[in-house]
Amino acid sequence: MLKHCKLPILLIIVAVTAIAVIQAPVIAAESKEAGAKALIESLGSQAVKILSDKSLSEEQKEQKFDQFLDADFDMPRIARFVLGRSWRGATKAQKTEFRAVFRNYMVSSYAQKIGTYSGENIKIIDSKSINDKESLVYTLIERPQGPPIKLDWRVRTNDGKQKIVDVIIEGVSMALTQRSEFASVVNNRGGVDGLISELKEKAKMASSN
Amino acid sequence: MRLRLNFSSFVNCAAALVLLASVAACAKSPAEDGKPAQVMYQEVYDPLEPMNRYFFNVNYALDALFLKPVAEIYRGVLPNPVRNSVRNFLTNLSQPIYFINNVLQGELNRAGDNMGAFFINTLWGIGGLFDVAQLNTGEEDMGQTFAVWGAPEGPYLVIPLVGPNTTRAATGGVVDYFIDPVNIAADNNDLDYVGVTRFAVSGIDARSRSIEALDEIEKNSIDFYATIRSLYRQNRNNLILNGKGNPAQLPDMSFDEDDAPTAKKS
Repeated sequence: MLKHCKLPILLIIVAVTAIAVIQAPVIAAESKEAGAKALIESLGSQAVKILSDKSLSEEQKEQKFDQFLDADFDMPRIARFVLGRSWRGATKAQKTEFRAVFRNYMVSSYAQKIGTYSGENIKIIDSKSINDKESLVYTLIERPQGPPIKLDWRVRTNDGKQKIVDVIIEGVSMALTQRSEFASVVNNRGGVDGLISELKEKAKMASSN
Repeated sequence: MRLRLNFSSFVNCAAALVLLASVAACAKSPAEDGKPAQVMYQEVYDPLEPMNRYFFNVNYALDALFLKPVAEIYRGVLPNPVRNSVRNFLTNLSQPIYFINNVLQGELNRAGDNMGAFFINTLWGIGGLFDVAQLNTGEEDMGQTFAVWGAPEGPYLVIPLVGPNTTRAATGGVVDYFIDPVNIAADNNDLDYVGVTRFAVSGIDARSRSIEALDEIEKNSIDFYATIRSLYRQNRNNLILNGKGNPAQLPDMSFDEDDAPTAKKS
């Protein structure tokens, strides 16, 4: 009797384990998109809260945004992507310097926009899987005036953490635009070093304004 | 009169199609590094860059001297509801050509929206001054239709007074001009100024809505020409796909092919 009992139990254990193993990737994939959605949701609500907080100075707001950039954006990957084909030919020193300069350039370009905030709100629409590591989170930026703007966030899992790798505004990818622009600068104005000095100049100009 | 017009527009259409075909024949995406054309297609194809940059600068100067100041005055003098009505009127005038293009693209639901919007807004919206229908119809032009039919994008072009274009979009624009029912009707009634006025007012209207955005882009870019070129091409692509791009076709950001050898070494 005991012997008869053991087999079904064993079978059940095997079956449950098998189901768990088979289902694991499905569950993981679902939570990947859900995780990406949660990331954008929390980032969006925090950003709106900071922007509309009148007790914070513009410098304090800027500092908080710098934290977002480092915590929620995969900056090394973005830097590498926007340098495009020049990445492989660049020296280690150039790569390190480009990463730092690119970050400053990004900071300076959004820092000027902080003061122009006028009550925009972010609405999460949906998220979809792009591949096993990436998802796209669809959002709408609702403005007090004018039609809403479609904003898609490309989120990628890296070392177990989800981070933003691109922002797509009405079908226009920021990373792709920058890659295209930087390639043109590399070709026309003195290679990667030329690009680095142009970016430095731009960041300096923006911060002195 | 009608016969002459139809004949001349037929000749022009034919000329445009021949131009398109010849462009299509020589406009292959350059395959570099042995990568498939699909990936390369995202890259810029701008063999006429020196000429384009020249006309870009010409247009930039003309914009700074004329279009931008006029657009600023237009925005400053006319209240928002009036400007919205101008916009609605222009959109309504374009519904027939949007309709034709949607039919040619096989987008019959969208074509139905164009027709509905045109009749409702013309009748109830006082000749199109008010958007009563609220159907949110998108822009459809022959360049998009050619793209749907599979014509390649062709070289990037900056056209004096018109601005960024691709060869495909420019060819489409010429065809649009000659088959647009509004233009044909104006031509038949010897209203020569309609086309020019429509072009000018559309330009001022569009410019008045992009003053801040373009200033911002210019301020943040280190190569304004290259930035506009990329923005234009991506936006065109978005229009062609009616905003429904396939996420799987986004550029690869994994760098796996590069990472694999280094990962093995370490």
